[in-house]
Amino acid sequence: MKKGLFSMKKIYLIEDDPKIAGLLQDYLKKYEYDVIRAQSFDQIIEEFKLTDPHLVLMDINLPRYDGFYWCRKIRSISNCPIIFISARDSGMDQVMAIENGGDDYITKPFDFDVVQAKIKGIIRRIYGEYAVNRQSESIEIDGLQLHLTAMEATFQAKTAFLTKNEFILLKSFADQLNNVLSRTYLLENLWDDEHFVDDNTLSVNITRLRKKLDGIGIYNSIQTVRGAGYKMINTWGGQ
Amino acid sequence: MKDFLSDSVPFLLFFYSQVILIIVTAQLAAHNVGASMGFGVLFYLFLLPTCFLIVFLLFRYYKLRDFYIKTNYERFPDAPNHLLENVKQQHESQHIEFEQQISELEKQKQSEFNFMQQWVHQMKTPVSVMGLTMQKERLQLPEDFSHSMQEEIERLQQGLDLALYQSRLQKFDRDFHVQKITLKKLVKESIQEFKSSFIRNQVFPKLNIDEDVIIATDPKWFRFVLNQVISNAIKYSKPASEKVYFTMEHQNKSVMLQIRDTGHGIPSQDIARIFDPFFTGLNGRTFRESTGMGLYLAKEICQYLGHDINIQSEQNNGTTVSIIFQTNLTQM
Repeated sequence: MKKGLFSMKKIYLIEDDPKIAGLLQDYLKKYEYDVIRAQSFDQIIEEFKLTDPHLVLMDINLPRYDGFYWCRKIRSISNCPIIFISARDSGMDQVMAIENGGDDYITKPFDFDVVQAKIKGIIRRIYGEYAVNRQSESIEIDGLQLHLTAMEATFQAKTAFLTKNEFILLKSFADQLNNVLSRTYLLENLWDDEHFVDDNTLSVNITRLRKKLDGIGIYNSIQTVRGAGYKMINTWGGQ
Repeated sequence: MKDFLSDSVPFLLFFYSQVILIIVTAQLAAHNVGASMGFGVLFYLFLLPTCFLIVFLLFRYYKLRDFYIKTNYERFPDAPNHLLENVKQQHESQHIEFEQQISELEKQKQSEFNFMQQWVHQMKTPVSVMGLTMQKERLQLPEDFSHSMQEEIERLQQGLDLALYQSRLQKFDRDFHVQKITLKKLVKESIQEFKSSFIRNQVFPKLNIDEDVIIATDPKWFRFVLNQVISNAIKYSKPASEKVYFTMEHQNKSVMLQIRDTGHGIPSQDIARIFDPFFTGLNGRTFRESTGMGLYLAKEICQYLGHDINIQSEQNNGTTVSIIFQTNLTQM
């Protein structure tokens, strides 16, 4: 079992629908997981041994034998965490998943975010806090620095302290510099599962963010695009 | 006993008619030779057969008694004569035939159920692929296209769930597992499922439920009910509607959950039939076709779970759905 600090985590993905497998692989790669897809559904155990993953993502409906069968087989040689994916949502299926040695269960249709969050949770639980892929501490664009954990933005020695919503907006813009982001896209990012979101939330926070950016010398960066949304452009570079 | 006697009447009539015939014949014969049977002899000629008749009747009654008792036998008692044996056998073979037919039907029903479950779960995969692809390509696609596709994908998902729960409800042994669960948690989870839908339709949830309220329900089945209600609340909201309100009220021995929208409402002539199966009403026709089954299933499920559900609505003002949970349960 690999247990290095900050090493890239391997995920063995056992999913026979090639499109879902591909989509999951692409998505998880962005989070710096090394995703290995199962190729031969007769030889799961051999592939598992060769791959030696940190975590297994397993669909229940597989050709040949089902996910529960492979889970039991894997369990007989390893304690590697296993997350089941399935369209089946009855309580019995979830009970069976646990009884057969699984650690968690995701139902289709699923959100990428849900998958990513569950994987992160299990990696943290099994391998410890330091094993979790740390995002880089900050993003930097031409002198403008976003400090992710502190939720601050600094530019030329001045710092803006941002609220959670302001920061979420700024990061969304920074990740997609020069691209138009629609109201709905931004609202989805602002959605909080306790207080949800509001039509005003967006306008209010855009205004506040603009003001705070003005305060550190970033002017007219966040632009309103009529009928489409907002975008952030680099107005401070080259200073 | 009464039935036995009334059945025996023809026999008794015949018996006594013969006895009287014999007595009359004997009396005539006696007259012919100048004698006459005295009253005593006549009396004995009458009495003796009657005594034996009574014994005979008692004996018969004893033999046939089982067949006169009116209960629901699956199997007839042992038949004392060929006639009844025949009836018994006919009855039994018919019974077996019906049992077989029922068994066949149950197998067919189970088969249909299995097919439906399998099919729905299979269909969820391509719908997942579409949803995930949309998520992935989100920023590259024009927003109208993206919204339109998402809306259709959600309709597909809801339709599949409808089919799934409909088929589960048809089963004789539905799998209800009642648990104690926090109401707020359940509602939040359902709201979360509709996150995109709320945002796309520009109507937002407002939640006002105490943290500590616990209800007894089957979360899986109840989630379906909640999803129906939320889906309708969003669907029928007006552009001017800003919110869908989720509130609760403590009542005597119960808790009431209310979900209120400020949308188009339900016309008064439709309200009484809103829970009928296949009922689409004015709204169903005006706001894209609906199967008319969602609320019907929701009500059925609430009934099985022991919850009350009702709807108040005013056209153009909005609709309030109330669900009442009993909290005075002594055991789970």
